[in-house]
Amino acid sequence: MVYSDLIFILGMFPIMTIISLFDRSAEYKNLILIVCSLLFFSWGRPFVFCLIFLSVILDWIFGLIISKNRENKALCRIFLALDIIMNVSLMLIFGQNILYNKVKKLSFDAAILPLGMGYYMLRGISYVYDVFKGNCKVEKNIFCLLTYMVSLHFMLVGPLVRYGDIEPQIRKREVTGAKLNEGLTKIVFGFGKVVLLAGVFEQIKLAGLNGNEITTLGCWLGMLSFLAQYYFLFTGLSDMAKGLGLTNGFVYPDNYTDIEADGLFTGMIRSFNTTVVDFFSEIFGCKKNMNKVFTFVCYILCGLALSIWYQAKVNFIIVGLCAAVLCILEKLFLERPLSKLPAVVKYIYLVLTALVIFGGLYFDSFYGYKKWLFALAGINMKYTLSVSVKSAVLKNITLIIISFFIVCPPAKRAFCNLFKKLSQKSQAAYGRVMISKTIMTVLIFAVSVITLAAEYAS
Amino acid sequence: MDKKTTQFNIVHSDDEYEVPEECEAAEEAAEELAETNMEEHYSFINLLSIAVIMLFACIFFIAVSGSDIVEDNNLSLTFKTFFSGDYTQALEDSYNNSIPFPDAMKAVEERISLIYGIGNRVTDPIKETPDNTDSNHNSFDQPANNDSDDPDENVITTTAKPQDGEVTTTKKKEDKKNTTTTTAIDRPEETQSTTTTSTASTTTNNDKPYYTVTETEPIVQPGPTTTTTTTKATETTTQPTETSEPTTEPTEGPSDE
Repeated sequence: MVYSDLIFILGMFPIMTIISLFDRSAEYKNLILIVCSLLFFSWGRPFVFCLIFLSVILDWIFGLIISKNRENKALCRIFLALDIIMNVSLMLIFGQNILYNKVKKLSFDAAILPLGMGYYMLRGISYVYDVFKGNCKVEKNIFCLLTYMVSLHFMLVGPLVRYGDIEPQIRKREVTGAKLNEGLTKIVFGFGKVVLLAGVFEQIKLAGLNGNEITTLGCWLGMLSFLAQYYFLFTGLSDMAKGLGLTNGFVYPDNYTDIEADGLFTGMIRSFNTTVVDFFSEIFGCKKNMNKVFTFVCYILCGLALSIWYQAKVNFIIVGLCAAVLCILEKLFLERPLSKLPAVVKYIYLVLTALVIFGGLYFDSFYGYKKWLFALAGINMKYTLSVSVKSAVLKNITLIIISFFIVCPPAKRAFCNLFKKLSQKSQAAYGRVMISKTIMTVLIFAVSVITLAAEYAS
Repeated sequence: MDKKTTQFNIVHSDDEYEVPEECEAAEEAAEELAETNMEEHYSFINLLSIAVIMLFACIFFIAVSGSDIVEDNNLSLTFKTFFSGDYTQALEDSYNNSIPFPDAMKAVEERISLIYGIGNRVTDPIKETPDNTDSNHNSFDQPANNDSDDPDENVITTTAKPQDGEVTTTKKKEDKKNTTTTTAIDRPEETQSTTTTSTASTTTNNDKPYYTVTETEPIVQPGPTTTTTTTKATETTTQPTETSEPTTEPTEGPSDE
């Protein structure tokens, strides 16, 4: 089950929210959250219950042992290593189905929330790591740790919130009208991104990267759409996750930021799945100022670990290493000259590097990637644009323009400033802007539900 | 005397009310309070609108079933059905299959898509083209023998040459991802057979019978005809029929002669 399933958005979520509002105490809310999260996480594959309980109990025990034996550094390191091995094994076996991909129930198609398992594993490791480092107190109440580990709004696309930051909210939190309003609005906008925008880019991707009709513009638009599709899928689910958290009283940071030109390629990497990238950077020491050799080694290890965390496949590993190399080049040599360029040139640089590097994620073989690169450059290409690509773009041009305003920060800022100026003119104008926003939100929700229902019906 | 004093006092008190410095701060505070109230007012409207429509949709999708046929899976909530995952799966299937007013939903969705861009129509044939909806197909994949021009053997579509008997039997995989209509005649003989039945042609793919699809394109004929579709003698007797669903009933084994 994912957040954008009809049975979740119109079934489990409203019921869960209403039930959790019956009592103000955090303990009651935690209990409802744990029960619903276990149901959500193990939907269709309830044996995951055992897996979750087992791993949470082990994380809890390892944390207690490390906290009680702080003076014995060697023992602490052993238990930290044991925890990392256990969690990584869980992710590789159950999240990515490395061992069981031939058993139908456990095949990759039926993978147990592959991405969710990755976040789950990282939460386990980060808790024990933080206890080891002294960044947070050890948790003696296993139900508080269980709330942190299994909460469904951290589960699918993060963010990777550290236990020390969220622990006060697990013990005491409040659901206010403002939080409910913001949460529901975020859920609706995220739902719209996943259902409407990601779906549009999927259509263009399939038309553009159709190997039977390879065209130059098709390859450009197809790959841009591939990246846009996953961007909107991820950011949409992240918005929904944050909204779910707010409706339950939790406040935590976003797991993505706007892609700013000043950050260059490294900034772009950090803008997507921010909390996870930061965690890996911290573990591998990428944030420290070291000499060139150590920087190189740290970045390479970080890129390797991050790519395996996403998916343990050859093309993911190669892409991760290439991205790490470009980050190193930027840090050591390119940052100064590139920072002097105008913003437009920087955006072109970002688009080109993202296309060439992350394009590798789409292809299973170097043959396909090479073929696509040649087509991108127009080598041996007879046609520029196919009818299907043109049709897919024209038929969704309104949604593509809206997507541009969401992705491009200067355009987004201009749009927001316009609304701000309009609302500041008078009280009546403010009211009109706010009512327009409400109508837009309701329309987005209605259209998304109808689109999804029509998809199920057909 | 009293009168004068009173007058003086009144004048003095008027002067006191004209002090502007204290009032500015008070006005600012009042404005801020009004703004906060206004924000809260519109936030409440927003919250109420979303909550109402969400609850309405929730109740509507649960209460109104779009399916005329109530599926009785005989699946009750027991320890075994829950932990095997069958119960939750059946619950989800039941929910997804009972979307209220499915035809109306599709029609409304088509109408909405008119505002998405240029060239959308209410019944959009391009949307239904498998080429565009094919999520798994990727011809950038490296072919097995590094020769991209060779047809994929899995995409077998056997087309019997329409002869004077005018029977065209086309076999193709049911899976949507094989969208290319490739004509391959070099399929091993023992993997297919066309057997004779009295009313319709039946094509059997012994390798993957599950995927075998028989499509018969009826051509008006005066009566039943016999057409040889392979070099070996294989008889097909076909009457004009409409095959709406795949038929995979091997009535006989592969014909030797």
